[in-house]
Amino acid sequence: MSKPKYLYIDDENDSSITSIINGFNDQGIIEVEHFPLSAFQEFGKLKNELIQRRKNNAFDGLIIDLRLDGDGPDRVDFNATSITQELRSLTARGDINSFPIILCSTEPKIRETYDADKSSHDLFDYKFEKSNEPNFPKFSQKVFSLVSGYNWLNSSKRPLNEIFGRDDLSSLDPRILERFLEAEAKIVIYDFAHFAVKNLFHNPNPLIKEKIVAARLGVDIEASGAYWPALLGDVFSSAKYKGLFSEGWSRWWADGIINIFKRLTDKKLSFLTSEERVALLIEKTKINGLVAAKPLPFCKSTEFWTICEGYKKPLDPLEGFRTYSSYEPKPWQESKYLSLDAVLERVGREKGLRPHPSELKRIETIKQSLS
Amino acid sequence: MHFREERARELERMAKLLEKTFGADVATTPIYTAIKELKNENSIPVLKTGTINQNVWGYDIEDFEIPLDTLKHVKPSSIDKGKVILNLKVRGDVNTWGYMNDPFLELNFNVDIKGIGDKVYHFGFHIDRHDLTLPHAEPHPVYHIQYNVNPSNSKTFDYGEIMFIDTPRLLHFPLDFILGIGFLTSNFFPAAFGCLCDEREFVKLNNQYQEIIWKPYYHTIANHWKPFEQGAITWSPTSDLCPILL
Repeated sequence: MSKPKYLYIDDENDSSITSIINGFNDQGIIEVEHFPLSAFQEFGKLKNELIQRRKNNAFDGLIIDLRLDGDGPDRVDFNATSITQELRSLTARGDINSFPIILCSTEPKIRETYDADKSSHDLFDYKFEKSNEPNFPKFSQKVFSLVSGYNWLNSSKRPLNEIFGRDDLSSLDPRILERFLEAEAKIVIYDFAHFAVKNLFHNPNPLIKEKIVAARLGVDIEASGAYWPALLGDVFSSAKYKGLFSEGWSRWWADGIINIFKRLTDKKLSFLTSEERVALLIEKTKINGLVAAKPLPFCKSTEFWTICEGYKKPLDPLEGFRTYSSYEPKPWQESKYLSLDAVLERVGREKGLRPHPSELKRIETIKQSLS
Repeated sequence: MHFREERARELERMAKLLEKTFGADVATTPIYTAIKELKNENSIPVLKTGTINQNVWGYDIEDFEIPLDTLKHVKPSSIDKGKVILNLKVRGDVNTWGYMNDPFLELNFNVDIKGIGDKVYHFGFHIDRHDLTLPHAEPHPVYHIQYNVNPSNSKTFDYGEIMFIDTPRLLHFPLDFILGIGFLTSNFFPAAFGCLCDEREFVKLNNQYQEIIWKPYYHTIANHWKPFEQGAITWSPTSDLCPILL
């Protein structure tokens, strides 16, 4: 496959735009082309141009600045959500093929406009923050993966187990995929894409991130050095998620990790301390350099099951505080947590990380007992 | 299949009720996994003996958690957060469901309680259906509760990490001294219990006291379901249910 091409649409037209475009293009994974918004100031004109270009396969995805109605020289009278909404409707009707749309903006603008307008959250596949030295290798990999996933879905109607890369869907909580099983439901490609990114990848269960895998296995990633990837790759590879967008999002099936550990050791993972988990792993795999994770400050338990989102370190949820999220996790998803130390030190506040309102009373009581 | 569908629907009703009552405090995924298994017509539960029988139904609930909200009854007092974790295995025969017989072929109702204070503490108990064909030193009522404080059966378990928690308030038949001897010896001095049961006098005394003390107790409980269906009872012998019933 040749490099996927993204069009970049922004009201700005200065060096900041060039640096973003170059930032992506320098990675050599995707090609980003600046879209001349100044030539398409009217909504209808812009829409028709994008439809035409999409029909001619002239691009594979869009990166759109949130405030197209901002202060830039190419400003228009509408913002990214309006045009994206229109494009999503056109793809749902089948007028044009579905494609990924990435939101791009500065952190304050995202806070001010996007976070306040919850109705727009379902429109975009991914959110890219312009400021603070973007991690271009990571973002490039994700937006590349989005295009290959969309193209793969567009190319043929595929069964669910192929889309989510799992032979046995029957052992999953049936609520997870039930919306795709309803015979009358009209499912469009964007539904799969949105579900994968927003539901499967963002909250733990049924998929978990590498750091949570390590927490559940009791392993300190940093202290274990090369032994950690050896364990993950050699012993737990069959639990790796291989479905839609797996090139961009590394995840593991939570039940797969538990089952492999059970087969290996004949022990139930959740009842063991990190020292016991790691001792069993070393005994059974002979990967001797694994190091057990230690608890964060103020924490006593090493029966880890999640991570502190502030420090990204193992945490027993019983000692954690649920984080606030703009959307409530689905009943089949697990919450995210902060450790007490991260709460007290306000770690990640600038990124919007904070305890759920229902935890505030408990935090206040603990604070008083500490003072 | 209809039978298992019905049981699955009832579990679903309970799951929905829990979601409504507890919200995000209780994860219902373990229930829905069991529901899906029950509805899967290709999945017939295997019994411990390895037997597979089309009439066998059942489900497993793994790691269903509820918050431990009775912390004031827990020692050491440093424990300020805790949870109760249920692991359950149920196996039954569809033909005995709803009849006056043993409803289950196998039952493991395993409860682990975890508390965190100055360190992590554990406590646990199980309510099991005992396989009466197995050899055992102490007389086992077919359904019984027993403590299990070492959740991972670790050989190096530190018994200093056991938390003390008020036992669930289990109903128990009344005991005086005469009936109490059977209770105490059968649990703590089984050889003596065996010898006593060979004594005609012991059996006669127990018969007399059980008639006076236990009969009103159990008949009153049984009287909750009216009419009392004496003729329909097929569960036997009664000594399986209560080995000290002489």
